[in-house]
Amino acid sequence: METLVYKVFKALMISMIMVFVFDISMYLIKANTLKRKVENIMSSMQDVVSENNYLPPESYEMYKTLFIQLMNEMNGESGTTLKMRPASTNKWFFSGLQFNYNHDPVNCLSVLQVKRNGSNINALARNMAVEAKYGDIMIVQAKVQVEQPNWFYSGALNNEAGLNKKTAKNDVPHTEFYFTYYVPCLKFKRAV
Amino acid sequence: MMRLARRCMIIIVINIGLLILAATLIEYWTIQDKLLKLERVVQRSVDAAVESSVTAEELFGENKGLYESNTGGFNDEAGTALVWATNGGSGQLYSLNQYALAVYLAEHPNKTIYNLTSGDISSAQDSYTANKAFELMYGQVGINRNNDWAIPKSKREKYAYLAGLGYTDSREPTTNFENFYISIGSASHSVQSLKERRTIGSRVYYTLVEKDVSPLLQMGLKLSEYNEATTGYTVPITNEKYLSSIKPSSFGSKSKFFHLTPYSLGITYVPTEVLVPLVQNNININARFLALNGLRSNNTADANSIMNKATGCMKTNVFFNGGAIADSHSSATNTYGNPIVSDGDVEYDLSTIKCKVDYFCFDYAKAVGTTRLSRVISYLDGDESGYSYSPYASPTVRNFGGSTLAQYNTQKIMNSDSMYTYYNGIGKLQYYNGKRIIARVSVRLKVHIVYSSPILQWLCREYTGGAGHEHYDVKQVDVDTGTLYEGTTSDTDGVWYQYTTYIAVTR
Repeated sequence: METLVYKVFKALMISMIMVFVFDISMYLIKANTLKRKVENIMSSMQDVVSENNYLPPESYEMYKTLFIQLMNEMNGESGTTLKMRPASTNKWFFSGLQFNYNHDPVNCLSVLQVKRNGSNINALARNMAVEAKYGDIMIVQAKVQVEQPNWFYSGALNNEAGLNKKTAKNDVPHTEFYFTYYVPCLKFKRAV
Repeated sequence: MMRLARRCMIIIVINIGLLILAATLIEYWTIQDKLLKLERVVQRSVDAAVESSVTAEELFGENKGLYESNTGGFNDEAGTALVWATNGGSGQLYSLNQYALAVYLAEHPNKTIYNLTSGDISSAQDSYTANKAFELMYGQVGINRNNDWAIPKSKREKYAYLAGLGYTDSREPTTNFENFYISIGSASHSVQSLKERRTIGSRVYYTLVEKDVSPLLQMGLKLSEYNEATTGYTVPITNEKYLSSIKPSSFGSKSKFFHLTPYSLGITYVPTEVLVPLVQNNININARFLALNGLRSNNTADANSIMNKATGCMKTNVFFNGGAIADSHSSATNTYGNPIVSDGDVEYDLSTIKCKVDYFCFDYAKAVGTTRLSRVISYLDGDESGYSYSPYASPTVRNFGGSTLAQYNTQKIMNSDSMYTYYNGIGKLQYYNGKRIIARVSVRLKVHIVYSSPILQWLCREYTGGAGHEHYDVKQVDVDTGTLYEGTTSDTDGVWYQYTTYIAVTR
């Protein structure tokens, strides 16, 4: 009898551990797949930016479409926008993406000093929609919003005040992956 | 006891085998990323360098006209490439005109892209003039004053002012440019108006003649007899532009000048004097910026520190004989400095970069070429039936881009065998030349695709005789003999990578 109880508890414990391990493993596999696919597309975008000193509008539309297709493929849905979803309505693994195209990039350099004629100037271009000069450095960034696994400890939810907050309890936690690249603009443009 | 020992031995052997297998598999798994990085760096660098070395003619153009002191205002933003140079041991980014860079490196043979200092940058910028760039790429800057009859009266004062600055009639082209002109540059030509001077008795007459010559003659270098007017001709024929390689600007004061370049004249020419340093520089810069990817810090010092570490060979994971310092892949310094730059996965040897430019001529107006070209165009439009070879045929009307039939006729691809054609509706010409020059640019360099796995690095070390001899990297195999490829000399360190691209300028 004691052996039976021991075996049952042992099986339960191993099951719990295996569920946790497999859940996290599946999440890591999905996250890694997403990372590789986003990096593939971003490497092509870097080439376009390097050749044009900015991201032309038609190229921006093309990459937007590519990412929407990727999003639909990963989520098994048929969405039409890259807009980041709020946590309360977010049910997808890959739930939003934002470029620094008419947006400011975050979590990256804001100044990169280049010495010109003895003075330090900031050669960093932060908006992909605006054409940079030959010799500037363009930031190419994609901020990807992904679902976070539910296995986390939250101090806020661990007290009554946190549990009573309906939005906090029902929200799907999410996190952001940043893909940031610094691309030198090597296209010689007509002098003005 | 024996059984336990045997089991332990078996487990150890199996683990070692699995370790080696896993290391090899991971290496294969990541090598594609490394190769993609290599391709990306070299392709971006070469494409940008080719285009910049060919198309930066605006720096010689009228709207950026030179000043009397010939500094040309090149300290401003135009044409300023990013260059990596050291200042007291650590490096940082500098902004330097790409032609100033090329001129400085040509004038200082002991200086290379990978041993530039901040003092070199200052010297290059301060001593640079646009005339020096022109003389490096094309030929001497000078003016012929023996044929003022060819110069319009409104411009004679400006040319006289030029002569007063000390320019002489030394307009010899560089060896490279002259060879280009003789071998293929003269193949692309167009009809130009020249002035002919005839003397009958004591009277002198001038008349306008049309000659089918290369547009490169307008650069004013001594490329043909028309550039000297009096040489070998009893009847001098020339053009104002042919007599001077520095032209007075039509705008502003008489102290502004400019040059004509092959690009401004619609001819493809890739000056290797500028191409090679730009390729080296672009690879140097692109590799450093790849190492910077993903940086989240907002501190320029962090960025510079990461880019500094890109200089030289990467550290390995091999600590031999219990040493406290990891082996480096190789000691790669030469007479000029350390030519290796790495992007974290691949090392590029900047001292091995070789560039080759081949030219060939393609006649777009020939029937065969027209077929090929119309097929290319038809892919854009989906229907090639609207194109005809004969100027007098009635083509299937295609409302291409909203143009009328008359406009369409004048823009057709013409057959160069036809004697009479229309040229943009301006008037009849004797014949139309469709030849255009295409340049094929090939760049070759030695790269080291280093192993990430310590086990493979250690195996390489054992094979190559210890640290400092060769890189622990992917080797090239001679498929005929099955041994390591040695080339003409012992060449087992690294692999050669080659990239080829094409560029054509047309008018």
